[in-house]
This record gives sequence, C-alpha cells and structure tokens, in this order.
Amino acid sequence: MRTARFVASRFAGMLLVLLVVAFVTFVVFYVLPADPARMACGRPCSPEGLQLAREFMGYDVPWYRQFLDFLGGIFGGRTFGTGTAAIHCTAPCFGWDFQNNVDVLSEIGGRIEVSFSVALGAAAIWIVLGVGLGVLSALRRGTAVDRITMAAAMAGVSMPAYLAGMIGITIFAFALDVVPKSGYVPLTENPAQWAWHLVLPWFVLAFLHAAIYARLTRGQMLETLGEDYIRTARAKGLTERKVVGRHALRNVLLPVVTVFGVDLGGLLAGTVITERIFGMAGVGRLLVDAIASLNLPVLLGVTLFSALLVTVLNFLVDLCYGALDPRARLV
Amino acid sequence: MKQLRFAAGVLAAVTLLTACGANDTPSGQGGTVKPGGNLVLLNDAPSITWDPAKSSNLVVTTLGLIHRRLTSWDVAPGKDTTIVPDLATDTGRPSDGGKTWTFTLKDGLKYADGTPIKAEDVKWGLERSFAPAFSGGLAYHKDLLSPGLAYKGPFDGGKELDTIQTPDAKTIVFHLARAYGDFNWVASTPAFSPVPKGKGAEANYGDHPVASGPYQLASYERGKSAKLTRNPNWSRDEDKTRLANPDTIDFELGQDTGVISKRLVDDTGKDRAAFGMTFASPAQLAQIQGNASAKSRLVTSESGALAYLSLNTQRSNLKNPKVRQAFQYAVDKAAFQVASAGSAQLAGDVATTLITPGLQGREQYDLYPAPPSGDPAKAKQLLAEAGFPNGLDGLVMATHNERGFPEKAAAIQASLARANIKVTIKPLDEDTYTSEVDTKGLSDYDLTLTSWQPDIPSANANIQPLFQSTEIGNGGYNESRYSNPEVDKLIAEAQATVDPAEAGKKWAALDKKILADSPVVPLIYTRNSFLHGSQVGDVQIGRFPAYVDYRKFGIIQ
Amino acid sequence: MINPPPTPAGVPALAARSLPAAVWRAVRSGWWTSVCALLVVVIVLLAAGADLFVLAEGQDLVPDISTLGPTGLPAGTLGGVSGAHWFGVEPLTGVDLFALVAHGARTSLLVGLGATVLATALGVLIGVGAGYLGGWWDRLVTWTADVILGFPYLIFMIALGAVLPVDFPRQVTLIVVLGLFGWPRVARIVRAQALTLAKRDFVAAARVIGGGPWHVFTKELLPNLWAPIIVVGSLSIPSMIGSEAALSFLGVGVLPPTPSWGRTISTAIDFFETDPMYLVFPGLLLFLITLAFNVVGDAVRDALDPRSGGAA
Repeated sequence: MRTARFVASRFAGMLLVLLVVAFVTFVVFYVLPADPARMACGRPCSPEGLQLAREFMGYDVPWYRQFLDFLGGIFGGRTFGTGTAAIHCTAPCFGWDFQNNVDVLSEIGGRIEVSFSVALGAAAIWIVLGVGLGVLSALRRGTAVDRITMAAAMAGVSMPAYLAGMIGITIFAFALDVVPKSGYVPLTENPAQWAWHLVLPWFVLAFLHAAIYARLTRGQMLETLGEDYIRTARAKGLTERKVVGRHALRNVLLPVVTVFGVDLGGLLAGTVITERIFGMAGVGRLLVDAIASLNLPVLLGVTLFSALLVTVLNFLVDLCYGALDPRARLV
Repeated sequence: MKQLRFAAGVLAAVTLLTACGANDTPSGQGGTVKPGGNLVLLNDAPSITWDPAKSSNLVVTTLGLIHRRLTSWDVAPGKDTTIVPDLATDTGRPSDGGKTWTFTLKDGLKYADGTPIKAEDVKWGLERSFAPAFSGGLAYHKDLLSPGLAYKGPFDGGKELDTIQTPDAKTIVFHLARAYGDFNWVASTPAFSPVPKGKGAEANYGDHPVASGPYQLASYERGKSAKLTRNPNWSRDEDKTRLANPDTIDFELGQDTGVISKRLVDDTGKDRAAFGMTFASPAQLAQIQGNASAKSRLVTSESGALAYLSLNTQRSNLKNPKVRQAFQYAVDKAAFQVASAGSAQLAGDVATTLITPGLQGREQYDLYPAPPSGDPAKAKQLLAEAGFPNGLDGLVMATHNERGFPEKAAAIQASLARANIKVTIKPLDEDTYTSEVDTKGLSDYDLTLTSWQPDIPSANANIQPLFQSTEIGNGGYNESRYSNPEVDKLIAEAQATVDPAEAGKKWAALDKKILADSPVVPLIYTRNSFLHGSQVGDVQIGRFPAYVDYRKFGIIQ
Repeated sequence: MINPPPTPAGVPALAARSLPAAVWRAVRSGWWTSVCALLVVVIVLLAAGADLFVLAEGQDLVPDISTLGPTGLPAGTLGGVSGAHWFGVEPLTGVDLFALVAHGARTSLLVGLGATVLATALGVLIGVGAGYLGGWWDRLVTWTADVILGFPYLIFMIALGAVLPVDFPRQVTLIVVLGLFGWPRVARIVRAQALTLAKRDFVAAARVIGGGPWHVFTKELLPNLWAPIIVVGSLSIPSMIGSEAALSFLGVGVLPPTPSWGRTISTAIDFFETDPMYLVFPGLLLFLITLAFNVVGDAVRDALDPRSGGAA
C-alpha cells in the first residue's frame, strides 16, 4: 500500500514536472526575439506574408493561448489552416514540424531507436567496465593494475567528449580503417551491421564515462571495506568473494546508481556530439538542427522528451535506492 | 604519466595521417563523361525541400533535376549567364509596356507518370504557392500577380487567380500589377514548375512530387537519404539545358562536413563517384592544398556572393556620408580575404561594386581607390573632416554565428581599430539575426557583416532588395536602412524597363549612385570551392551562380 | 561513510582537521600530486596575469597576416612556433596563440571556478536540507531538481545570449546559468548521503541533546559530508570548465573576440591535419588543468579521510 502511494505520488510529480518544463520552454521562446513565421514567409518577405504565416502556424495569439492550444492538442488533436490544404495533426499531437511536414511525435519516434542504440549500448559497456575496474583497483590497491587503471580513468575524465570523438574517428575509421566512417544501420535490418557501425561510438562514450564510475566505485569500495561490518563478515570466515559481492557491493552501488541515473537521462536525450561526428540521425541531432533553424515545435517536443526520460530514470533510481538501502527508503 | 599517454596518442595520430597523405597520387582521368552510372551527393543538411512552392533553390542545383520551369539559365565558365527557354518555346513575349507577359509551352511535354503537361498546371502550381500551407519558397512573383497578397491560394473556397490566364492548353498569359522587365527571369524560379491541376493539397506533397525534369524522386527518407531515378518521359532532344548524365543519383543527408571532406580527399571505393554539396571550409582548403590528388579535384568558382559591411544610415554617428566614406578606406580587405579562405585566390577578388560579376550590364569601377589592405590615414582624415578627430567609439556590429563570420568580423574589427573606430561584435544565430536585423522596425546595431547572393541573374536582384526603402524591416534585407526617394524612383524605373540592354545601363548607373552615398562597404566577391571524387567529371562552375551546375556533371566511364 | 563514535563535545574527531591543513598534507603526499598542485598554481597565475605574460612575450591579440603562408596556414614549422611566438600563431588571422591561450585560461578558470562554487554551495545547502528535513520540502526539492535536470540548458543559454545586451558581461551570465543548472547534480548526491546519515544514531543523539537543525547541519552532518562534497566539487570544477568550453565550442559561450579555449578548440579540430599544434596547445592545457584539479581533489579527499586508503 505504501509502495502504491509512493508510485502514484511520484507519477503525479512527473506529470507536473513535464507541465512546468513545457511552460518554461514556451515562455523562453516567447521571449526570444526570433520570429519563426519568417521561415515560412519566403523571399522576398512582406508584412502580409508574415501575418499569413503567423495565422497559419497559430502564432498570432498571445503566448498563454498558444500554450493552451498546445495542451489541447495533446488530448484532442489540432488543425492548422482551413480548407482542403489544412493540416490535421491527430491526437496525441505534440506539435507540427512545418519545415519537414511531419508531426513532432512521429519525428522523434523515428529517431529514438538511433539514440537508444547508441546510449544503451555504451551504458552497458561503461557500467560493467567502470564498476568492474573500480572493484578490481580497490581490491588490488597500490599495485600496478590499480595505478594503470586509475591513470586511464583520469585521462578519460579529463578529456572533452568532442576531442575524444574526433581522435577516435581519425585513428580508427580513417587512419586504420577498421570501422565504418559514419552511418547507422537499423537493428531489424541487419544486426551484425548495426553493431558494427556502433562499435566506435560505443567505445568512445564508454571510455569517457567508465572513468567516472571506475573512480567512484574504487573510492566507495575502499571506504566500505574499512567498515566494521565488513571486518565482522571477514572475521566470521566468509570468503572474500562473498564479502565483496554480498556485503560491500550493495553499499558501493548506492552513489553509482544515482550518478548512473542522472548520466543516462542526459545521454539518452542528447547524444548530440556523438551523433554529429558519426553521422547518425538521432534525437540529439534533431535538437541541434532544430536550434539552428529555430524549429519551435520540434524544440518543444525534444525538450519534453528529454525531461520525460530524466524524470522516469530518476524515479527508477529512487526505487533502486529503496531496494539497496532500507534506511534510505522514502515515504 | 597521463600527459605522456595523450601526447603519444596525438603523435601516433599525426604520424598515421602523414603516412596516409604520403601515398596520394594524382588521380588518372582515363575516360570521359558518358551517360550512365550512379552519382552520390553528400550533404550536411538533414533534409531537402522537393515541393516547388516551398523551395528557394537555384536553377542549376538540386530542384532543377526534377522540376522544369518556363525559362532557365545558360551557365558556362567564362561568360555571363543568359536566359533560355525551358518548358516554353521562347523566353516570354512582353506587351503593354511590360505589364503583360505571354508564354507558349512546347509540344509533347509529359510528366514522369505519362500525363501531359498543360498550361493550367503551371497556373495551378503558382496558385498553390500563395496558400499559407505552401509558402516559404521564392516569392518574386507574388506581389506582381496579387498585390498585398490578397489571393490566398486555391484550397480555401476553390478561388482562381485571375491575373493568370490560360486561353488554351499551351498558352499562359500573366497580367502584372506593374511593368516588370525581369519577369522572364522570375519565370525561372521554382514556383513556376507545373503541378497537375487539383493535386498537391497534402502537406507532404514534397515527399512524392510529380516530376517534369530528367529525374523523379524514387524515395526520400528525411535525415538520411534520397534517391533519384530517370524520368522515362524526358528526353535530351527537347531540353537543351540539361544533360542528365548519371542514371541514378543518391543523396546522403545529415553528414558531418569534416567527414564529407575526409571521404572525398581519401577518394576510395564508392566515394570516387561522390560529390560534396557543401562548400569546402578554410580548414579543409588548407588540407586540400597540401594534397596533390585532392587539389586536382577541387573546383573553385570565378566569383560569387558579395560579402559586405552594412552601415546603419539611421544611427546618429553614421548619418554623415563622410563618416561612412571613411569606412571604405578603413577596412582591410586583404586580411578579410585571408580570414575567409586562407588566401586571396581561394577567397575571391576584392569588391568595389554592388552588382556581382556574371550579370549582364555590370560595369566595373572603383569609387574609393585604396590598396587591398586599406588606407587608415585617409580614413582618419575623413573622420576628422566630418568632426570626429578622435575616431568613433561604442559601435555594435551584428553578424552571423556560423560560416566563419565571427572570425571575419574579428578581422574587420581589428582593421577598423587602426582608424580609431572601436567596434564590439555581436554574433547572432541565424533566426535571431533575421529577427533583430531584418524584421524589427527599430534597430540596435550600427554595422552588420553579411553577404548577399541574388536569387536570379539580374542586377535588379542585387540592388532592389538591399537598397529600396520598402525593404527596411518586416523581413526585408535593407540592413543599412537606406532610404533615398530619388533612388527608389530610379529603381522602379529600371524595374519597368523591358529592354535588357537599356535596363542594364540604368542598373549600372544606380550602382554608382548608391555607392557614392556609401551605405555599405563592398568587401569581396566570395568564391566557393567544391570537392569531388575522381570518377566524377565535367564539374563546372559558371560566373553566376557560384555553384556547380548539377545539370552538366556525370560519371567518367 | 564515516561513523566515528560521538565524543562528549559532540564533534567527531575528524572535523578538527581543518581544510587548509588537509590540503597542505595532500599536496605533500606524493611527487605526482605535488606536480599537479604546482600545475594548478601555474595555470591560475597564467590566467590571472595573462596580460603580463603576453607583454613579456612582446605580442598582443591583434591579427597579423604577415605571419601566415600562402594558404593561410602559419609560416614556419610547428604552427609558427618561434622566439617571438611561443605557441605559434592562429591560421587565417595570425593572432599569437600564446596570447589566445593565456587569455582563454582566464575565461575558463573564472567561469569554471565561479560556476562550481555557486553550484556546490546551492547544491549542498538544498541537498542536505532535503535529505535531513524530509517531508514536503524534500519532495519539492526533488521535483525542482527533476525539472532543471530535464531542461536542455543549451536552449536557455541561446535565449539569454540573444536577449541580453552586448555590454552585459558574458562570463557572469555563464556562471549563473551553469551554476543554476549544476546544483541538482550536487544536491542529488549530497541528499542521498544526508538521507542515510540522518537516520544514524549520532544524529539522533545530537537532536536529543537539544541541537537545532542548523547545529545538526554544521556539527554533525557537514563534517561527515566533506568527503562526498569535495569529491563532487573536485569533479565539478573540470566539468564546469568543460561545459564552458563546450558552450563556447557551440558558439553560445563568451563572444568573440574574448578568447576561450572552447572556441579555439572548435576551430582547431578542423585544422588538425594541417596544423596540429593549433589544437595541441589549447587542448593539452584544457586536459592538464582538468587532470590537475582531479588529482589534487582526490588527494585532498584522501587526506580528509584516511580510511579511504590514499590514491594510487
């Protein structure tokens, strides 16, 4: 019962978050001096042309009215313009991309697979690698293994993502020519090619992120191993494996899980640099292109999508918390 | 430890790359361009607009491959660009002093699906461009056919545009609101492509348009790719403007420009039949210059868009023409060339006129002779004469955020400082720029650094959009906010002149007259460079526009 | 996590070790850490005294195309490195690269440190409060953090950049935006630790004795939170420096001609094959400052908490 209340209240909170994010985005764009109707006006543009474009796209009403229209569209669909050329955006309608003639929801939907493939694959690699290496370093503290791993982790943490991406692609795709230079192959089309095209982005991202987890895990592990209850477990005669795996790891994973949730949320919604460098049509790329062309409906859609992902992941992280540390259970 | 690792990594990368570069050999071009083969076009833009009503494409590039218009352009290196017929039998017959234009369609024209192309289809395509759902493309015809945009398209109540008449299936007559000598040029813009009457009401018509040109759109995946295949109902015999050599054309969209450049420089495998649609950036040009094979596959235009510095004539400091003339001497155009592309040869010639080369009737002159690096002493003298012995301070220069403009602006800023003119740079992203500089009524900026390429090869398109007083604000491009009633009158007169030679003389005179007032400082005629694979041949750029003619290239076999 | 038995004074023995003493111990703990600490000092000095260093070199930030070759690349080897130009010159403009890097250091450090201080201060206050006080305050904080975390701050920066007047100092805008978008990350981690701590016996004991929230905060919670705060802080500085560089890389950071490592790196990437030193100098320095802060931060944490066993 307590869990059900917890879930329900968190879910309501999530919806509120999305509403506020949408609201803030609207206000921000209203404040922005750029005029999206200008794009639809043509060259040469005239005051009449601007006015016609604004009316058609629904920008000739005050911003709070626009916001309400947007919310209304989510439940009941929206129609832009009149007559036989009117555009019908069926419910749920998260806006219409006038520049590409498609509704925002399908546009994002078509790109999710790419972003998820890049992010989830890399995340799987980096969490295993990061935590594994961190534990190893902690157990072999002071040895060569520890030093080398931490050195590599330092390098990974200190390098900007765009630099790592460019170096990776220059060395492996061009100079050595062992992986494809760009492009994405859908999983359903050819799983082998899908993985092959993703190998480089996966490892570049993994190198950057694993470093954080390796350091974090190692630090937490060393602290935990000094705790009383670990000494007790060892004194009881448990194998080192049980001590580490059963008892220490639980405590260690707490901060790791927190950071992982935040990391993954941000990564899923915005693998901008990776997608740009590796020529993939994912959600991050959509965001950057929409910013460049001031495609407001798409910007709004991607912002909401990113907010949704982050809140859902944070929610899951909180659940994991409750599972890992009863003392930290909420509600 | 870590920095050694990093340095080692960098060293390794550099060594590998130099090793690769050492292998380059100039590509042998054994063979000539013949019909056939598959051409790959690499683009960084994520999408292409195939809907003619929404397109701002030039005649020589992408859209011209699937959509024909009433007239077209004859483009070749080393000569001015002239007008030729495309779907019509001639380049239009003006009457009534240039207020009425009549075109006759050729016989036997068919769409890709086999249905005949009729005059009413051209009318329908134009009517369609007035609908708000389909506006956004070139609109030079709109105000002439429906002043004040009173006509709102055929989809809301089925109204027709009565200023266009089609007495029979092959004749189309345009009744313009005022005399306009360049209407035959306007008839080459995308909106004049035929759309089967009654079709094209759906918003995504651009995903499957009906083709009248040598190719048709076989598939289009936004953000990814597009594929063109031959239009079986088009033949070279009745279309003298297009060669259409490749059998199929594949577009790869959304590519990173650095990766495009690397692929073309490497020239391996399928990339040998590829062409880069994007301009080569200065960094890429520097790399290409050092690679013999790539250098032989780089094509640079003769001339191009006018890069210029706009002086806001409505701001208090800049109201005095003498002050504005000082800017003509203060700027360092040589440094601007280097900041643009690394060398004067790749950047483009120093500009001293408003009309760009390649347009009929253009005259070369220089009202403010000075060495390419400028004449700061003369600038200071002019400022002193105008009452500013200590120079100017606190000026704001708005410019674009990308395409190298911030660096070019920095070069201009430094050169102006030599003449005691202190400027702060404000880089704006494209839409904010348009809104702040082109749309708003009041202005917060003193200078803008921008560039302008006419949409049609007419001096009219160089002068009217930038200097007519009606183009201030509301999305117009008169960024110098130049308002001179006499000039407005002369522009209207020149526009109404039907005889091209006479019109040319009037535009050349206007060019000099406006520049004497110094509302802008012409900088360079920007050259564009393009790279292609070793199997692509006949890659040519005419004097205007500064883009490769897609109608002419093909695969070497 | 530290769990020493509470002394009669109610203050854990560890907190008596003040921060400056811990830092000094950390810096002396190994030759590598000392080198990194020295590096931090050198780069901070470079940033603070950029004008003096550049004056010593005899250059400034003015373009000079006479230093360039026929293709716009620097004349001479290694990107134009010489006695007059210690780091060479920038292609296409001929601006002295050492001057660019020195002034860029100032931008990066100012924004990086400023944003970290703001984000950490806010994050600790809000996060500890949420973890300790619980209830509706905790829910509000979590929820606000979610909103902020979910919002792509890039859009915000672009909007602000377009709206604010040109003369408003861009660095301040960056610090405020990065700080305001950075506190949730700190707060979430601090809150998690505070949650667990709050349920511990010694905290309950302190409350029983009669300590108010502020007393508990400063005497019981904060001393036990130093380690995660320092770790988060030390990871934040380079991350904030990196964010400033990334924003400048995308063109929405400090405006030209104010130098910024991010903007220089962004242009230099394209020139990597023809003039690698253009990327190496700012890239290497960005890497080094990040590394140095990480190493020193680690060492300080280890010094504050001997149980964690010291760094490699």
